[in-house]
Amino acid sequence: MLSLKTYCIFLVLAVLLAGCSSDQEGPVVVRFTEDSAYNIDAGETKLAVFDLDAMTVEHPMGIGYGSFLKMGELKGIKFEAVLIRFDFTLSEEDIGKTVSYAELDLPVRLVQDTLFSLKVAFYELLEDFSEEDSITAVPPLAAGGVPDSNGTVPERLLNIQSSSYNLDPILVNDWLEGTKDHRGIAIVPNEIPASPGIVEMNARDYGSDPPVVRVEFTDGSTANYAAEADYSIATFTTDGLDCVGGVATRVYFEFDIEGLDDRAMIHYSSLVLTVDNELSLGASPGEESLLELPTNFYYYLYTPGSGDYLDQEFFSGTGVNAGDFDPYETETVRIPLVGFIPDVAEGERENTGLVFQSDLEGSRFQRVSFFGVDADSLAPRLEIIYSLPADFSGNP
Amino acid sequence: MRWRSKAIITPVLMVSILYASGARSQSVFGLNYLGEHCIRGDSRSRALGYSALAVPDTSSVFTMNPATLAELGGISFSISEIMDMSSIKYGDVIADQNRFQMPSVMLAVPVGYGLVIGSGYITRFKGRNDFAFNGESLPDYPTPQEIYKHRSSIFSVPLTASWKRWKWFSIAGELQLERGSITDEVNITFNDDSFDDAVSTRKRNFTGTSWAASVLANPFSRLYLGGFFDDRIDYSVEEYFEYSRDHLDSASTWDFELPSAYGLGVAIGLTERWWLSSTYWSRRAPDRTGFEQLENSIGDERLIAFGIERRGGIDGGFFSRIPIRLGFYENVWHLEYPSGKPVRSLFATLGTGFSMPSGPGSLDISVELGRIGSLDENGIEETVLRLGLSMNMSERWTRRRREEH
Repeated sequence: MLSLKTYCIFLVLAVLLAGCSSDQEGPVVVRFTEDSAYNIDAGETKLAVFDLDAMTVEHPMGIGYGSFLKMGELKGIKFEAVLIRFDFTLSEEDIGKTVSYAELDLPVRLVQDTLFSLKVAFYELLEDFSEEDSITAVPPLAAGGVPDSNGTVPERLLNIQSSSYNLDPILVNDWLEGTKDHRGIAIVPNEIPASPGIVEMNARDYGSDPPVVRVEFTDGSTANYAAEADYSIATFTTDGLDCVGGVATRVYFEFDIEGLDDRAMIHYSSLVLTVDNELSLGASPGEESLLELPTNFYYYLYTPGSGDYLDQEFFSGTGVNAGDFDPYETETVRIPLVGFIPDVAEGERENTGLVFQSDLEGSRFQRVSFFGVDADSLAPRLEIIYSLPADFSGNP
Repeated sequence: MRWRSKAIITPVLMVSILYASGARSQSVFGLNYLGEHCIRGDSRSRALGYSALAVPDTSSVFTMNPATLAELGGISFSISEIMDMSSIKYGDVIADQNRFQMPSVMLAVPVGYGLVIGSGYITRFKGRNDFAFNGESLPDYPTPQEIYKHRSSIFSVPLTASWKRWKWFSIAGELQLERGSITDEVNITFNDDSFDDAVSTRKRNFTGTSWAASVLANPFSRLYLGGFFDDRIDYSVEEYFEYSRDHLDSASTWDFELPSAYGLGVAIGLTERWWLSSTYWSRRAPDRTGFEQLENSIGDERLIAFGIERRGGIDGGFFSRIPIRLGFYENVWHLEYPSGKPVRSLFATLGTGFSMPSGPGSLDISVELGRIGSLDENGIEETVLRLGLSMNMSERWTRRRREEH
């Protein structure tokens, strides 16, 4: 007579045996696969490499927000001017007072090196500006420049030692009384320095110690008038495959995969780019050392709505991938194209190419440059790993 | 054990058996052709080396001979499961395996004196293999893995009627609904989530109907004769090819014939308790449609089996009361590997059984130890230990007594 206990032992044994593992059968089954008794063969897995056409496309834009105002040149990005508008709202007790002395205080935080200086001049702006605007060129300036306390327009040095510049008190008095519109001033380099360098100073968005105009009135009282808007205007002239954030320079890749085997079952596809590390910029020196911002290059890859870069739809489209890499160390960037290439191969998506842009295009000056199409093994390319269908032989 | 306990434990056991069927593979030879032939019969039949074609049974529905269903006195249910442990040897390579088969189940219902009908699920052929090879490596990329998955399950749903025409003679007829599929899948994969798999699948769905007939005769008290005829099956095979790229998909239909099979058996009682039994079973070579690579490699299948049983008694100690079964069988497969060298299963078997507490039924266990294939003949050899478990449950029809008021 079988007891419940015995019955349960059988049950437990069955479950335990079910949990026992088995060895891989591959090594023994090879007997059947090699002589085709089991005649199903996995298709061959291949790597297909396609050349790309590549070009840099400019989509000028500016960055109105940022912790630092920049002047000078950094990795080919030229900071053409700094615009600052001050809030000259008088307090009740200062109404009717006359300015006896005024100076502009620019909180310089970092320069290329201690000996680096930029010769600059101050100009009045003839038009208003907004940090929300995309300003890609220096706006119209009043002729003559902003005079100093002597009424002359001096050449001023912007460096780590100098941060205060006296201003014509009459002009400042007019701005305060409203007898003259204050649309802001522009700080513009007077000459190109012998070697490129950069000066970074606190911007209003830094949160403290912004650019200010310090004023002393004839009664001996003082007042500070801080910036209410500021802007770094940058330009970039490309001479290769450059992707630059802050000035919106993008790289456009075109390709043709007509030669891909019609039976290809795609595992993986990637855009392979070789970085010219010497031209890389992950963050400005101030952002890196003072704000400790990460220096990786953040990219966004999309397939544009139009293959014509003169069409506005070219500058937007369907995202393919986004990510980041260290532009100073990474030599080869492989960007997975996820479902894009399979869709193109299946004819489910029009092949309008791929556009590589900085994902911080509207907020950070970054640069990465790639070796061009003539760079042989370093040239950009499209790699597709695929397998052919399995061979099910023996079909009737 | 009370009926309530059985009611709880039985489903648990069945679920655990079904869970176990997720383990890998049947015989490694089952990778080829239709798979491994699952010879019909419960653990008692297996313990007797599948020699039980002429052995009557009053508790099992899942016997080798459907004519024995007429012996059942009540609604009966049988479930049977096998677990294999094997060591496969090929050259210097050895792979140890654990395997489970999908259990076979049968239910029988007496509908009149001597007439019993039954149905269930019986696996005819079974194959299950998972194996992998490394693909050719690609520069700067991970190495692909080629993962092969083979699933073969061709089964039969018999609708059986068994009639005990005379006390010494039973006859059974079966309408068999034949179904099943053989699926081969090749998945090329990389150990990297950013890579998609490339999957190629061939699925062959088999459908058909057939019939079978069997007899069991008891001309003398200690002599039983059994016969079984399983008609040919004309399968219609729907074949689908599916790939990761839809435009490559295709489908076709073709026919496949599994020839008729027949079996003969005898059981001789040496004494009241000691019985000898033997079975011969054979099927002609099927065609190789769909398996073109097996040209000249498909032959006749046959089974030769012998068994001896000391049936259970009612006196004496525990070991005296339980049945003891021993057997031996040779099963020559349809598959010849290589051509002209049929795959042979040679097994010695033993087993016993226990009565179900408080009611008709039995729990039978079997152990098979043997070898499939040989290094000399086939170049690959499996040493196999099989554990079989069958559970037969039955309740007699009882008529509720009418209360007289």
